[in-house]
Amino acid sequence: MRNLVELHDISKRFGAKQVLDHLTMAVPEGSIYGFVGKNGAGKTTTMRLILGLERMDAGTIMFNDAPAGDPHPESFPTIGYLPDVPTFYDDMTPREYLTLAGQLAGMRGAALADRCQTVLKLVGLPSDRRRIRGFSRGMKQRLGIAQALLTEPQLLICDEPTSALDPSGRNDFLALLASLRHDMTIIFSTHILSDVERVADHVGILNGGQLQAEGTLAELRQRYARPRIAVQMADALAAGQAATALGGPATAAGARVDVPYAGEAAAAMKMVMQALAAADLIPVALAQQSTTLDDIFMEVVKWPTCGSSSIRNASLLGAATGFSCLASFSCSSAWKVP
Amino acid sequence: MIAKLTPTLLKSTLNVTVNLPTPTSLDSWQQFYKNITQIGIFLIAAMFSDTVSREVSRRTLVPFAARGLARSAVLVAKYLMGLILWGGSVLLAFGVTWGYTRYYFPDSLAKHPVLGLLPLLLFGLLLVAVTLFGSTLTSSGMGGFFTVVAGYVVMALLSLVKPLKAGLPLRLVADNLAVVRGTMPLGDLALASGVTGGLTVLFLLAAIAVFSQKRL
Repeated sequence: MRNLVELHDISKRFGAKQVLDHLTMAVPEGSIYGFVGKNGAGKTTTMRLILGLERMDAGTIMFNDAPAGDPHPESFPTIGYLPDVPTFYDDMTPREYLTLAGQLAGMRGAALADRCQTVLKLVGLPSDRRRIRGFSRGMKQRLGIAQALLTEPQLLICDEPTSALDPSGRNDFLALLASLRHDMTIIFSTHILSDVERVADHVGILNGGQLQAEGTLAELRQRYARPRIAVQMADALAAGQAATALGGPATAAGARVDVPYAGEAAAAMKMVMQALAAADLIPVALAQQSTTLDDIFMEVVKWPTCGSSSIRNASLLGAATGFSCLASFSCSSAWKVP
Repeated sequence: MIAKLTPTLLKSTLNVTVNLPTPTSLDSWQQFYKNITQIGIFLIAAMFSDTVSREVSRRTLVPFAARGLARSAVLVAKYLMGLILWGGSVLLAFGVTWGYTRYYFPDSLAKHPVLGLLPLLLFGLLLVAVTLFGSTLTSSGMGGFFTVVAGYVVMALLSLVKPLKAGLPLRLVADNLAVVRGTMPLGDLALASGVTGGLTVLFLLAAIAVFSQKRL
């Protein structure tokens, strides 16, 4: 798949703080790219660099296979931007604002009027005489996306678009983003990982000024998978006893025990049950837990210098109660089914 | 108008007759220029003071800048808008003054009222440019206003230095009545007009340079 946007070795410093440190990333054309990272990780800075709103200290940005300047006006008509908190001229109506935005982008006449009507309908805003001043946060967010979509951009950049919306507004917004799939390439930053899991097909995790992980959700799950068996015990005391009986990587939290494993799930569950039976402990429930983006994110940002290779190269440290315990030097540990 | 009505008012309310000098059209024009230079200029500066700083602090320009709107175009548009505001206000006030002066003081003492207005309009070019520069330079909503006040004070101090006085833009709002009266040819303000034009361009370029470095 062709990349619409490529960033190579981008560095950006604000005063003493190195926000981006030789950041390299690629956004495949037609994808919905979930750009995640902790607060202050540099997501907004990266997006503003792509938009030409910031000047980079070093590196190159490629847009549509052509080097983009700094700033790069030749790419503008094909990029739409929704800031985290969109602001408007409050004494205008949505249609007046969109008309202004369209005229500044070079649109004119009936084509502009039609397009304004289309995007207002798309985002579910009325085309009446109500002023933006009286709009709710959700309505402003809708108007923001209408403005971003006005010029039918090739690339849509949304900066934490759902962070201040209520659940219903979030739901509507994500549905709207999903409906734009295949029409354009979308980059959206967020720290709400469930939003990314819901609509993104590519994910980049920014940490320490660099992209620590990048790929499709399936690829990331495969790379960072830490499958676990959740053992539900009757109470916290029993959970503690179970964790002791299982030894090694098993951890108890309340009445639940998490047992990371490597290998076949069925075999691991069988071994867990055997170990519990041997210790005369009866679980209330036993379930296989799949790896979520939260797990992947925590894995990536918790040990920034520890990528998948170090997990793959983990050493076999020991064995307990018939199970092998696979543990890396500092990053990960899991039950290994023989 | 007050000068015209005062004797009548005093006579009707206090029943006294006061001998005041008869007001003329020159008094009317003098009042006009006093109002404009002592209040009007600062009112325009205050109204236009946050024209850029407000956009930057509220981030309203971000979607347009992200779509390629040149920052210099933003400033030039705002400058033109400021000129329209200035020119419109001054011409409206001039028109009203012209009307009641012709009606109440039909003398021929004010020989060149239109010529007297030209230096004032020209001064507006610099006034708007300085306000725009101040609004771009600072993040305060009153940045433009205070820059104009500072500029005014500096010019007032410089006017104390005799060799500099002839070229100061301040002359364009100080000698209007002499032009109206016909005692000063407009050509005497040529140097001050040239300096005003030069400073206007300088402040505009400085504003564009500052704005292009500004984080939106």
